[in-house]
Amino acid sequence: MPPETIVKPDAKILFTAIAWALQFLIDPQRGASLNLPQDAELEKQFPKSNLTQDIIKNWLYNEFGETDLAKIAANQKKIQEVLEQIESSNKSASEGAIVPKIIPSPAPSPKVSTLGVLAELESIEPILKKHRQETVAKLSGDLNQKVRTILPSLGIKSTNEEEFLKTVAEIAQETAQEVTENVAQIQDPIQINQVIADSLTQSIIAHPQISNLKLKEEKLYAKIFEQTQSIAQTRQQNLEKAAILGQIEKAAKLQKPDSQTLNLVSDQIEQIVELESALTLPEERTFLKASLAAYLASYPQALNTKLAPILSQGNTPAFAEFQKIKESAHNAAIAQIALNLAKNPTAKKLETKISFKALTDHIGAFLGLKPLTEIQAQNFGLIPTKPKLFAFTRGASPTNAAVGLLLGSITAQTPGWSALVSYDKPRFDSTIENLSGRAKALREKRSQTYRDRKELLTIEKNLANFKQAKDLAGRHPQKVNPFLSYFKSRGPNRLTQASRTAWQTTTAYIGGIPAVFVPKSIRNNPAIMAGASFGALAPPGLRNFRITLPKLPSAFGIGKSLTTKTFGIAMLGAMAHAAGNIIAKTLKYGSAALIGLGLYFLGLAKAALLGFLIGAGVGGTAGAITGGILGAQVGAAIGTAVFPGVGTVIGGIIGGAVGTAVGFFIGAGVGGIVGGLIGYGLASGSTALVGSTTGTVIGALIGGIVIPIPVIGPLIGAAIGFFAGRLIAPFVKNAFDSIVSGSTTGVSAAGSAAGAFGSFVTGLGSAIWGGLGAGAGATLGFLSGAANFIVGGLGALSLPASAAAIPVIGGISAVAVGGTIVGLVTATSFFNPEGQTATEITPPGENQFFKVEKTASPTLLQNNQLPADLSFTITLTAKTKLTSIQISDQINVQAQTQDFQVTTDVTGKPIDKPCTNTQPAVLLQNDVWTCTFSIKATTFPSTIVFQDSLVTNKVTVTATPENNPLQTGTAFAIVAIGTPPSFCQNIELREENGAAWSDAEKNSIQSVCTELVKSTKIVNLLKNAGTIFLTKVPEGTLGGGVCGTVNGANIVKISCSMSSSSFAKYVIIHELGHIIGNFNGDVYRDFLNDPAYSTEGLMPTYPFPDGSQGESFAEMIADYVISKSYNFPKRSWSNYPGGPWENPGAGWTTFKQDRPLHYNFARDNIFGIEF
Amino acid sequence: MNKFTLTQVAKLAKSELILLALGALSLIVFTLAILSFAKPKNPPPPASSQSPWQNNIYAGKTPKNELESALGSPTEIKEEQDKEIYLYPSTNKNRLHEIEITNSTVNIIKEQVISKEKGKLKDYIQNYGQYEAEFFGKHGTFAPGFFWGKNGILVFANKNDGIIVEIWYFAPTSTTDFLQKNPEIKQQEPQNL
Repeated sequence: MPPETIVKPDAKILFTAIAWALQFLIDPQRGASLNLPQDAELEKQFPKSNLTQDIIKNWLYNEFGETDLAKIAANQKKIQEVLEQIESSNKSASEGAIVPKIIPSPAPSPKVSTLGVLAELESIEPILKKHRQETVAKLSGDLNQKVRTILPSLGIKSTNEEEFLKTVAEIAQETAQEVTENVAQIQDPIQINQVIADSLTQSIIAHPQISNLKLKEEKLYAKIFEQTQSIAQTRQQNLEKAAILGQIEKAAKLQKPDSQTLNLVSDQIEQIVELESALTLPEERTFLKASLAAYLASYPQALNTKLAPILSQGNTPAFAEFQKIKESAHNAAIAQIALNLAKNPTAKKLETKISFKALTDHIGAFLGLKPLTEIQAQNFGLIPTKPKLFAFTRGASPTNAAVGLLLGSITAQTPGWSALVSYDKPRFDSTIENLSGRAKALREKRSQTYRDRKELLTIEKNLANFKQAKDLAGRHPQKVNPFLSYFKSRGPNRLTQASRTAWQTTTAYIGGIPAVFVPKSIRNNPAIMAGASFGALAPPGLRNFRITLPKLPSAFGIGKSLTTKTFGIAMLGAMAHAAGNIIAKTLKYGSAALIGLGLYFLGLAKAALLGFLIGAGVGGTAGAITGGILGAQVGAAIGTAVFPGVGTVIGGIIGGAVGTAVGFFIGAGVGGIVGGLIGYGLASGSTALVGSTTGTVIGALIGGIVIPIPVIGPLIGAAIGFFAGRLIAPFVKNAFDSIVSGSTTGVSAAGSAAGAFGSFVTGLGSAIWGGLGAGAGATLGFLSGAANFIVGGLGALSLPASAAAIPVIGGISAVAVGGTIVGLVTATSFFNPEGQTATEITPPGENQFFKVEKTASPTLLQNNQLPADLSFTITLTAKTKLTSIQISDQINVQAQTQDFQVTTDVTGKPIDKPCTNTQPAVLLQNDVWTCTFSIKATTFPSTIVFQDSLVTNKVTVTATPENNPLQTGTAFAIVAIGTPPSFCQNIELREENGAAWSDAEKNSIQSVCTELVKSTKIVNLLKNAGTIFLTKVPEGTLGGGVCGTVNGANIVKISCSMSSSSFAKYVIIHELGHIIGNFNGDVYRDFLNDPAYSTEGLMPTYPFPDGSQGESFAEMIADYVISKSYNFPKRSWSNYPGGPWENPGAGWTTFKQDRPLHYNFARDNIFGIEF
Repeated sequence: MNKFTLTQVAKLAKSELILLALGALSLIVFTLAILSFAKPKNPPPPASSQSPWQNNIYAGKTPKNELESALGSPTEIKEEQDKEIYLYPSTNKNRLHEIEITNSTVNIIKEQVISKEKGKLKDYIQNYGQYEAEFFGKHGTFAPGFFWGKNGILVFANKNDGIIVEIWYFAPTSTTDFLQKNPEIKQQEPQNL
């Protein structure tokens, strides 16, 4: 069904039905405070209204902020209020309340209209205008004072005081005006100063009276950022309010979205569709766009409903509160649309292609209708996730590792970014075209405003970056191709995904995402933009790479213990100590110098680096031998003088060591330079350079022999050699050409290896450079300007993090969590299997009354560390008063040879009742009880051998919260010792037809193993299948909407991405459920005998044909695991015999609630434990 | 009639005719002996060797009234188009035997196997020989159906451990005919999704 035919319930009928449903609910004869009217009853009462219980329920949940019907029914006051409002609304409301049309803004009403007249939203515009005027007045005053001091500090002076003050006033006024507008883009109040500093920077740069600024844009911004902190603090309240009002105004305008917004949304949908499912039909794309348009139309209503109570009182919500409101409104709008889509055939066809939920989440965040998630913030370059040096090397082949290492340095990130953005050619070209068009229009404008001038400057800088990228990709493909090859070879679609991520960041950095503020002053810098793109690409959680130069062992320190014996020996000790210092310093500075030289030659050409390495190798060896011999002689002589006999030997050894070290570095340095110059000459085609260098060296050597006069002989020889070399070189060039160009396989391989090594050295150099920067930078200081080898993007500019980013712990993560909770209340149907990814719920150890946690220390042990004590800590936090508390504990050990239980701790006390002496029977609200006990992990006797084992400790808490029934919570802690038995040992990963498991997917599979290994029972059931083959096949090859299949034996095929661990658990454990059935007929027969199937029917989380016991059996097993950690969204399959999956709310283990018999069967017969 | 003495018999045995006759006889006996070894021990049961359910109920033959007199009234009767389904209790209260009745005659019996009472799949292979076909029904790959059409029996059992979960009894038939009459049964292995 096309969207225009989706029938929306008439507003008046809806409200009448809600009133009727509320009365039904509170009627003891009908709803009895527990039930709402069924669909059939609604149809009977309101014929052809298309009203369903879901619509009513959703409305009530949102209105009451509550999902418990009993609690809604008990809220008499609110019910009365709603009924009154409905009555008054029905008198005046016209049609279209669900997706309301825009109503001209009336005067602000003192009465709250929670029924969605949108008066509150539309009243925002004049309020915002007034607030902006007031804020501009205050802010421009503050800024005027600040600009007066800033301009002279930048060297901007004027002999004409009046003119200077006029310039100051213009800058301050323009900045204040722009700040109040741009502040609506912020995601976190910490960005307020970014907005001020950025606007001021741009106003200064663009002012026509200001020229010849010495500071670069980003440094000017950094300087101003420090200066405007105080203003941001003083005006935070005003600007936060301006931000919120601005965001509300934008949302209100969505009722009549302008063409720019619609184009933006349409463009985003097209991009996502192209990436996710390029074969999506045009009419399906149109359908998606229409659905998104419906979402946009619904959103203001949903936001209005949430905001009305606050705004109508003349208040503005706090920023954090507003973020939560946005998230809630977003979810409500989605739920509204999804209810209609769930019944739509086109939507069902699209189920297998595009996730409507994911798509809407993206668009919502893009337009600022919901807070960004942390990942989105990273992708948009808002969180400074600098790529770690090794972030791109994990799991890479040697060649890829070298390229990956390069991506850790800013010099490689810029061409890398060019490669990724130019890869999407249509988008690349259209972006350039768009920017060019905008720049042209501004240039040709007759009367350019101050703001136009600022915008033009920014666009021109962006355009320059893109043109540079275009030039690089078009004219120097050899500079971008290695990066493209790198991403291409890292796995299917990785290049496309990387390009997409780079484009997300880039779009944000060119101001293309309405909801995202990135200071222009830093986003104009291509290196920062590239750094942010790769930061978004880099997997989080990797440590910073850092090299510390090796410290010498203290072997030479023996002198200290001999000092008291004789002066001679003491002298030898001092000599050894001094030698140690010399060697340490030689190693330190020599290594740094060699690496610096290596980087220098690499900067010239790879062949130069190859020459350098060869030269350094030969020279270093020769130098080490020569130096060692000479050093030994000198050392022996000194030693003899100090302490004849023993001193000769010790002195010789010490001298030899020093000589070897010094000789090596001198030889390597000289040889390396010679080799590097020759190599560079060969690569650049400069036969003169090659010849003259070679000739000089050989001439110097021969000259020194033929003319035995110190210095003079070698110099004459060098001079002759220099000229001779230039003449001879062309004749030998051809021979070298073949080597350097790699015309033979062997040489080519060598070249590749050298290239890879070169890349490695670059990366290594970048790391060392970063490390040395603080202390020993002087040694290689000359290189910094040329090479700019600084790891990461932002570090290069010394910007404070707050000047360029928003913190992870601020609004974003907090709101994202809040959003998840709200999302559960208004959860909706999802379209494709990926979209069905369950959302995380509270862990099984936490409920609304208490939280129980279990930790272990250590969590990882090697076999050779046994015997060892393992400590386990239980923490029980009461959220309300708890009585009748019972705590029990259990430790199971799964070893390679046998499983056993540990029943007592190291003191001999029983574990099943831990810490009995402190265990409370009652805990008051907010009380925290902890208990720690230890067990001994032994290697003897043979019945309790912990080697290669997995120790699983589970605590179970039961308690009675005040005025509530008994509650249970469980928590696990796991210790892995050696190589514990793992279910993954039974799995063999396979790949077919070009499909490949990515690292993320392998990690997800590992998480499946980690989950299952908690249960010995299921592992043993799976072991009956022998090796299980988990085969990755190309996407879509298993049929529409099918993610995984299992044959009649032990071969699983997976076609969807398993990168998400929750989704992987769901899919893979379901498929493993089939394998359990295939190889354990008795378990399946028990399942048939059990009342679960005959009483509860099919599992409802996945649609199967009636009579598919096998599928239901497998689904039960998957649900048992994931329902403990993740919650399914509510779903309702049309005509599905399993019925709808009712999600009662956050914190519920819905599987246990909805299908208790299945749950019990899975627990007792498949897993053997409560997860 | 004169009685032969041992001496006279010995003389007769020397005659060539007797010797040839004895030789031929020996060859025949030897050949028969060899052939007897080569023949299968259990020749295929005749078409009439239909497997009954509960000793005396034959699908396609037993009338409804005989069924009721043998087993009593069913727990439940379902009516579907042109057939009735009689449900009889098994030893598990959650699983009922299903007997489909068409034209007042037992058409097909679906026996639920609760435990080890029916042995394992290998027992049926020993009794009936190699199954004619492997089918897939509601138990999917967990318990495919092993089909002996001539004996009118379909055994749903796990292929790997031989655990039997259900047995169908029907009048002897061909594979094609059976699949036609029971569209829920498939020849192709289902794709476990």
